[in-house]
Amino acid sequence: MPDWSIKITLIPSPSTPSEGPTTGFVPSPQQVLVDDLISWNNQTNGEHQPWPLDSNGKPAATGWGVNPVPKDASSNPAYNVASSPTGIVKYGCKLHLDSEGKAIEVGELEVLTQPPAL
Amino acid sequence: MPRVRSSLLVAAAAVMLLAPLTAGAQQGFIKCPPLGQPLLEVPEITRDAATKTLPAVMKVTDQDRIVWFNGPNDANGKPGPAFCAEQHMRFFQGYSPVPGHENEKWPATSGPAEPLPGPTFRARVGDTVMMTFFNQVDLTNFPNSEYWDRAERGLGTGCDEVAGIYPKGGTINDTFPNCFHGSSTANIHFHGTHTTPATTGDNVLIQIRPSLRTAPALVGSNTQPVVSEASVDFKQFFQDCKTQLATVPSSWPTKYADLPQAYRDSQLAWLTKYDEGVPEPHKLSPANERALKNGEWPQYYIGAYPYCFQLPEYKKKPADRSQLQMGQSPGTHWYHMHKHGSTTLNVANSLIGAFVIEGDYDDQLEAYYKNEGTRKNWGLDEKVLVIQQVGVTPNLERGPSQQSIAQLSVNGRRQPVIEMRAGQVQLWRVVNGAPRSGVYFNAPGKIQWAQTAQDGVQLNVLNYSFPAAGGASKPFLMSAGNRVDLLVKVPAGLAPGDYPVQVVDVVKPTEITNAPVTLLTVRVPKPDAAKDPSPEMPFITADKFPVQPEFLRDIDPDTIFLKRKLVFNSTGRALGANHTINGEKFADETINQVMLQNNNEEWTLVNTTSDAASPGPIMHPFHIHINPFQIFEVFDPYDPRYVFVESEFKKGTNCYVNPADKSTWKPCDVTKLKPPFVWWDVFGIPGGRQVPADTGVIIPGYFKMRSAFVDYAGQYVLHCHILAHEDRGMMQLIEVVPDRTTMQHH
Repeated sequence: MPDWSIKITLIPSPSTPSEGPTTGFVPSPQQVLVDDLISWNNQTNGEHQPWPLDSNGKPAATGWGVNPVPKDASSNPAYNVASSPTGIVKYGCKLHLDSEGKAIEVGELEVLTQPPAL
Repeated sequence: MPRVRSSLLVAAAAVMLLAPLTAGAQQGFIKCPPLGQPLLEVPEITRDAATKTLPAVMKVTDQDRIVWFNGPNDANGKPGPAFCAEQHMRFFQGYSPVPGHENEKWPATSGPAEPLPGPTFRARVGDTVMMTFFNQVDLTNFPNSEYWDRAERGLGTGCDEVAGIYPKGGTINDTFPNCFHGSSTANIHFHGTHTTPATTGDNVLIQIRPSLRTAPALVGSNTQPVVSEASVDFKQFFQDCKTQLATVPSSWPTKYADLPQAYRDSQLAWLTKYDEGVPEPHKLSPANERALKNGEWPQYYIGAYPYCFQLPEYKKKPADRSQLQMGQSPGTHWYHMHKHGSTTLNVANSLIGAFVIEGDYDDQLEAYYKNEGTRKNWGLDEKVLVIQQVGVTPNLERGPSQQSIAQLSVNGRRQPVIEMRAGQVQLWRVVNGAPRSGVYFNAPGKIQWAQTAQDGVQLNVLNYSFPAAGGASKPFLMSAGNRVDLLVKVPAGLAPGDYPVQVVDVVKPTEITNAPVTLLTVRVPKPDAAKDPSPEMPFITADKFPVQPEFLRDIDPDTIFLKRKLVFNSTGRALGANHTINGEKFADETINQVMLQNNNEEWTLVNTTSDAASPGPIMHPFHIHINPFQIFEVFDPYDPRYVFVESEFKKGTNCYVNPADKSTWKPCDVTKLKPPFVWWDVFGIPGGRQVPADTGVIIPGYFKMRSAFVDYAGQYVLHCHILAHEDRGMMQLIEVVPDRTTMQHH
């Protein structure tokens, strides 16, 4: 079953392009199936830790068991996609939060129970 | 018709076929290629006949490939409909550096392509293999990597890690080194070669780590491997090697200083760079120094390695033990990555390929089918068929909804089509390169076949037979790692249409009766007198069948120097899914079996894995490197010719095995093999059977073989060719020690 490598990389800021690139997750959203494996490949100069977000955009109480990812490294352990929740699952970097405790860098998984019809 | 030796003819076609199906596509779910496309012929790298060498450049690299998957399991645990995804995988590239062979290259393409195996090598007995090997994998595209594989730098458990699942999860508790790990470290096993297991030969103990890479020009931009053709030069080394290997048997290089000084200097620099920040016990440079002080061959390399070894040609009966006792058997062999801990993943990624070694066997077959005289459209058309089981992560690293058996494919495609004309005979060289599954070929129906070789060793003519007109062909089982040469015939007059070759995915004897699937299809076009062979091509007759070389005679039981017994066993997941030989898993720095060079031995391979408990009676495919073996006794308790109740015994028809009497747990006259015996290098050890079912004793399956540990000394391995078993411990390190010394008495 599929494995997915999501890049943590610099992307142009969608809202304020003049301010230069910001760190983001590519691709996002990434379609995945329940029980697929995901790893994050950190191409930035900083450390990041993918973590599911709650409905307020803050890190959820329980993470995915993925350790902080050093620069030029891929995440460890890999994440085995949980069966719940499905649909769009937002996640972000737990290490970079704004003043309200919300993740600054946000990505999305689209968790499917069956492969998409193509 | 002329015999097709594909590379020159198909390279251009392969380039077109490998072109991206969806330009610019990124990782994601993708529409599956249609079934029933023509068979892809794998590009070849062929010998340089002028120098009697096989020069090649091979690279392990990474790129996107289209992979078929089973859908998530339903409530009954059955896999859903197949789908495809574009996946980033490691794979082989290769080309010939020989002038005039410029078309012999495995094309590099961008975007998703079907996962072809690596290039087919085509050499001849007596050649010297001279391969420049590169590891240029970009690790950051794979999990458990921190520029280098984490495990190889002593980080974490040493194993690949999946949160909550692996290496510790549920009842599974794998520990280093018997766990999945280090998947980007490379080497090559030349499976089926009779050559040196040491230094630059069929040495699977070396580890070639990926090349260092350039720093990215910009954050996030691509990096390039530092170690490439521009930074290593083995030209002179290969020349020296060819000279040194002029006599057979011989091994060269014998000491590290035989490698080029510039290469050794750059290796030291790269290893030192690699070792920066690595905990002491995991540093590679000191490990190499320790090996050198010990008089051993260094184990660790960065980015590049030269393989150079002979495929020894047997010419006459040896006068003494210093001369060649056995030659390289001409036939269908193969190669694959063989790094303990990652063979499963690497073979599943299709880091495999066919290795055809030609000799008199081929000449005689070719001569028989030559297009001459009154024959029209004859010639032996050859198909190299590499069976694959492509996947990206072993089941143990996944959640329950995705634990299913990967699909079988051939040369990168599922259910490809081979066109054959009515009245034609083709030679199929079949390699079972699946990491797990045995493939049971059902009798083919209206097309016919006859086996000519097993595991790259031609059959004795007394073991060769072919079906009569209208007669049925024999079904056969290929365990993972087996090769079979088949003459396949479409009888003249057979109606045009599609004729599927159906197989069953088998690891247990009880699965052979499962519903078959189509592996490939033979398509017979409408009759065309201008193209159809005339007269009909027959199966080669016994009197013309290739004569077996003298060194393949039966091993004389009176020459057996030593007997030994190895017991293979697996436990189910509830007990940790452990795989052992003689009750133990593979251990670093330990030699389990020692054989004296130039002696014959008799081994009993026992399988106590049975139907009494999970995982059931798995037939562990036993494989040993360097020397083939000759099986003279097989006891398969699932063979229907065995009965376990005395009242069912019919003399001359079946055998009575008394569960209460161990002395009867063996073949009887009905099931006894008769000489001449077949040579193998992989054989599924029959599983054990509980009799009576559920309550009785476990009657183990076994086979007995004889092997000649001749010509080459050194350390190598034996293991189960269900590669997840090997990676997790079902392997032993063995050594053949020299039988000669300089010691004298004056």
